[in-house]
Amino acid sequence: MKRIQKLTKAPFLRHDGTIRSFMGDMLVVMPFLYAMPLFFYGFRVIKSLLISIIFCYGSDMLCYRVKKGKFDFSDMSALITASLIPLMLPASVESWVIMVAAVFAILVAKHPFGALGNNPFNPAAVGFCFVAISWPEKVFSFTKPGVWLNVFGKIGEDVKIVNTMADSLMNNGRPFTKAMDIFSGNHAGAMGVTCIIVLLACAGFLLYRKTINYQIPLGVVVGIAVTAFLFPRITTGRFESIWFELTSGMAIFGALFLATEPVTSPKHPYAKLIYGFLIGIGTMLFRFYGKMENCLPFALLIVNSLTPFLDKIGMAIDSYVDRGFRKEKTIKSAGGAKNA
Amino acid sequence: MQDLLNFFAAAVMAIFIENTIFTRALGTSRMLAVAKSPKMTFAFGISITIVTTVSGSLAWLCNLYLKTLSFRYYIEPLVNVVILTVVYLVFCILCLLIFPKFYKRMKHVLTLAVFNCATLGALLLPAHNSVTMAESRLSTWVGFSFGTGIAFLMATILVSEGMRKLEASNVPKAFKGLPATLIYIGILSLAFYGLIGHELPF
Amino acid sequence: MHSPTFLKKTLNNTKKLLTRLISENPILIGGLSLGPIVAISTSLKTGVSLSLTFAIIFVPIIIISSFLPVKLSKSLRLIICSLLSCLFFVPALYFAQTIFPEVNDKVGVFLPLMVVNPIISFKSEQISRIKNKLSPALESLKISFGFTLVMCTVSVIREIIGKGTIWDKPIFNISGNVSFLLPFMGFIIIGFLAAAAKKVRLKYYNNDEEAEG
Repeated sequence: MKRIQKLTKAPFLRHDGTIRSFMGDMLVVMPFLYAMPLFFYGFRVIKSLLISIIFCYGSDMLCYRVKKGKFDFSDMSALITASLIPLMLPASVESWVIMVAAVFAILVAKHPFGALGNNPFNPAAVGFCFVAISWPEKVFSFTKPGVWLNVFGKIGEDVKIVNTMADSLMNNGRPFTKAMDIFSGNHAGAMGVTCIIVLLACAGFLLYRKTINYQIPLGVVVGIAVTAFLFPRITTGRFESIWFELTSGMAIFGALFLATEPVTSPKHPYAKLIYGFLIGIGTMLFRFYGKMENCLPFALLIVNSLTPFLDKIGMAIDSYVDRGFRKEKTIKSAGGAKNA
Repeated sequence: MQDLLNFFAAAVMAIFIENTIFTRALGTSRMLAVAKSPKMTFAFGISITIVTTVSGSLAWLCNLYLKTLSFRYYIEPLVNVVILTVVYLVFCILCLLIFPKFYKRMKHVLTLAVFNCATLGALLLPAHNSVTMAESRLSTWVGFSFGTGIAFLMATILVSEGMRKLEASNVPKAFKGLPATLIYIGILSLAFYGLIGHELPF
Repeated sequence: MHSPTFLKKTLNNTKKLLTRLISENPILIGGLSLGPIVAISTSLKTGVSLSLTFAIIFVPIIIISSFLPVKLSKSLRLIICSLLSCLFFVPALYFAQTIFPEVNDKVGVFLPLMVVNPIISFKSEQISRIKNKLSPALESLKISFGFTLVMCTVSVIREIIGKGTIWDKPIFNISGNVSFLLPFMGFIIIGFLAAAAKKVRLKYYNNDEEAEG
């Protein structure tokens, strides 16, 4: 079994597929992620998406114009960032919050580092973290699904703000959401992160197309599950703790769509597993000691900075395992030569 | 036992929640100079930890008397710089006696490590924030100073990895070097603020 | 008629001075003394008080250190400079407290930290090395002015967007984005200003090798 050793310097490893195929597949999946929010919250969701696209893509093109003197319409990565940002925010959030998140994500997290393929941090996560710290009362107040919100302006005074599952867990209380509601997304939460069935279906499609890999989401799930098992926040049993910790907040969404971004995640398979695991543990630490409900993007940013280091560890494990295989082969061949 | 718990609690707080670089930007310029070589990173990190821990204990002693003076803010820096100088001279002499071969290199690293914002900050912060420092016990002071050194080391490692990645990336000319590194540190600081969520006292 | 050419010359000189201040700025290009600028430049009052403290400590120290012997070892020079800075800190603190009395609460630890500002050690070493070519007083004033420029620019930006006030007087009726008052926005704003300064420097020197040095 011959293993091809890639170049020794971690940043030079590149993804197997083309960037265009990755972006194309992600863009195909995005409308499906918006289907359930549209059903629950109405056309306000579409307005949020449009605002995000206009400001993300607009600022991206402006930056390209400033840098290169012309617009670069072939770069679709801004559209993916634009689609991901509203999914992490509540449906009731005002337009200017989305606008600020979109512009911040592109201007600060993408272009100063060299734009496409060079960003060390996930831009959607950076945009979300910025608005989460600036206006936590707007980013973490969720309405009940099934009540359609008015499309323009603020939501009506009569619409109630409800607690989410993550909120209950933060106060060490067991959420009362039923399994059916969790799967269909019929509970309060950020727009795109509640409907588990749709998330899993889209992820299945992306895994089949090999756009995303299974190692990172597996690592995140294992990280969260292990921590939830060892240190449950609720008192009604460890397996219930695992179930609620995995389905609340942004755990599944972040594991499948944020953490698997090819530019910011490691390239080596072992490194990917460790990366996912660290994100899972980081998310749980933020949930224990932080004050915010949806904290996977924060943990994601910190672990993003460790990506080159994790790639080096992955390659070290690889060479160690290789040496083990080679030793076995030499012993086997030596034994064979003796017997012959 | 309680002292040991206080020590670790203060150290963990200084590393993750009140990281000297990500939440107060103390010692950033020194860190940027040191992050360029891995050997220097470790040597510097270890020396700054030892220096802050020892000076922290001496500063606690001085603070017991300094607290009572009315003009304490005027002589505070002088007292702390004198403490740092004493610690520096003691370490230089120790190094000369125990490791004469490494003396020159160690002296260079020690000079950078002793007189910078992070070390002086580690001595002054517990005195200014004695409300949050739990009755300013010796264990809390020393824990905080020790944690500051470790926080510096951790931040330097994270940023040096980032700097190496940025060097290999296609950063635009105007952002190459210092500007991109500063924005990188800014985004890391944003992520750490998720743990705090509010403004810290200076 | 000398006035038009005189005006033109003054404008030209000011433009040249400003360009030199930006393209050789110890903070934006050298990356020194980022601590106070990033963490505490959240309002114009603190910015001005810190710049004043810095100037009062910096200018005498540089003038004095130009009289120190050249052969003095680096560590000894550093110790002497730090101890002397502590002495000059006393009048600096007095003046800062006169400008606005709440300085101790707002600025906290950063006023005494001016004593070990890396610019002091860097410049004193540079002055001792090239003593004959640079005048210590002019150099120190130039650096202080550069520091004040950066500090006040960042403070104004952060105060306007962060609180909607200037010198604690509200200008717009908005509450502002509180995260501009936190250190991470300080890092990001300084990063963008440093990129702008680098662009000015690249244009000014017009030669890549010289600029990278």
